[in-house]
Amino acid sequence: MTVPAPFAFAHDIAKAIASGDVTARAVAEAALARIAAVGGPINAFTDVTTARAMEAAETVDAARDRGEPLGPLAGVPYAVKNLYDVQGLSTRAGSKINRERKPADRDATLVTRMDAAGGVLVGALNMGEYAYDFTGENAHDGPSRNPHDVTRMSGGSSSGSGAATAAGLAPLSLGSDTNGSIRVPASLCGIFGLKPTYGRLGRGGSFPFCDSLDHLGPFARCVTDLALTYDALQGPDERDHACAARSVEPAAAGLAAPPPRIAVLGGHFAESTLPEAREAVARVADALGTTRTVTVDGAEAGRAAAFVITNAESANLHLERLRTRLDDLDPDTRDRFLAGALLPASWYVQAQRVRRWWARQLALAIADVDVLIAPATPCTAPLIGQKTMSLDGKEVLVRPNLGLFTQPISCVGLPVVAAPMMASNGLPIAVQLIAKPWREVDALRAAAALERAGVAAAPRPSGLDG
Amino acid sequence: MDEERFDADALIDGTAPALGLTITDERRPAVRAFLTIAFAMKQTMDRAELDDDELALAPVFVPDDRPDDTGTAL
Repeated sequence: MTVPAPFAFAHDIAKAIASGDVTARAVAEAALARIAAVGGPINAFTDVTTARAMEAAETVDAARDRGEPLGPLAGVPYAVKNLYDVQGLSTRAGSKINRERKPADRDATLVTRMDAAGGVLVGALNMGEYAYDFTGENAHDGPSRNPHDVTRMSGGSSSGSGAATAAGLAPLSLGSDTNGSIRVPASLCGIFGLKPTYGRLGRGGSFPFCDSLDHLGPFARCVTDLALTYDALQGPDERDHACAARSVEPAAAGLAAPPPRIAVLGGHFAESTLPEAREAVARVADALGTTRTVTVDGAEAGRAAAFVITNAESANLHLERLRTRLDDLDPDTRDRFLAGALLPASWYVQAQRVRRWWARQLALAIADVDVLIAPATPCTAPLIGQKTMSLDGKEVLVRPNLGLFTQPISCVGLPVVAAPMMASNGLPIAVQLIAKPWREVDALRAAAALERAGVAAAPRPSGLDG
Repeated sequence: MDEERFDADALIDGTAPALGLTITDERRPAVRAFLTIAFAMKQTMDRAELDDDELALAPVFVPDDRPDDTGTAL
């Protein structure tokens, strides 16, 4: 009986458990031991749910012993960003203040779905405070560090999710994405991430950031795992007013060929990038056999709308905390929230109008395209603490510009797979594969084609094989 | 309002008291900087040529009998 290696894929782990090659208990013990042994410097976990993991693993083993059918993720360790409710834990959402909340009395909807598929929760993950972050830095819990170079950012705000799955600490993790918080850490840490269509996956039992832009989604080390997890998470959610009442549309079984109409997204998305990002887009376009570029005006306005909506809605959410707990907020989020609280109402209303306008511009421009290719981040991982970087010869702030290419897309809710690869500078980077609303399967099919071609893959960080 | 005429301090002084917020001298420079960024974003949005009927309709309350919800904003 052999415990799968640290970077084993989730579907291989589930297969080994289902076939009796290894027990779920042994897999859980190995995962917990690895988190303890190599997880410290990465700082991805804020809670390790040892007792729950062992109980869940033993439940899987008992079901197998009885000959019962097992779920597609039976015995697979996973972890969740700490804005997901986990029964018995206070949902801290990266903050100091939320630690005073009473422990959650039930799991978030998506945690329930993962468990129903047989997943074994091993812990909750570090994140930027209240999800207002692209860097992975956190004044309360310390930064999640990039497994490929611990002096560099993991990306945020799903920083622990990106770092944990990249480091082989959890083959699957769940995060959230309001302006890029799945796609940015997927890019900087070098793993696959899926930001589904707005309204696809239920947000019940997750701590909000900006309701009209918040999405939840999975991270994985291969496309099969990403699609299997996405399939397990789908379905209506009575606890989320924005979750669409759509039936499950399975994707994992339909990844054999890429969609036929693929183009590179030009204009805003071809500007202000470093060579690593340009090279990644070119490699993906070449592998998918496209020379077509689609340029659409308005992305800058769409990004601006996302900025204003996020600033205003999140500040409103935290207004009482801004009044009474200012000194307990992370300095990197505090002053942005304060500014957001003061924005004129007309700016916010205008932002919602521009959002709708931009959605229409983009929809018209891509009417005959199935998947668009764009950079996920303009650069590979900056150094932790780095405040500025050079883009197109201009010195710009790191924090907002990590979301330069993700914000215009999540602003209008399109589904995106972040597909990773190793850049020429020895650090990972990802491209966005953007599909039409409710066509996550097209983005996943394109990612699978890139994986088969040997272009997209989650690189293993050196020195973490232990 | 052009960039030269945007007065972040006036916005802070006029709005913060109405929200029960205190912007100390220590915090003011950072808040001013973020408001200036937001104003630049507002200017970028202004370049979008919207028709009068280009509306994002307000959330419409739809009564709902689902057990854990009080309604749906569409």
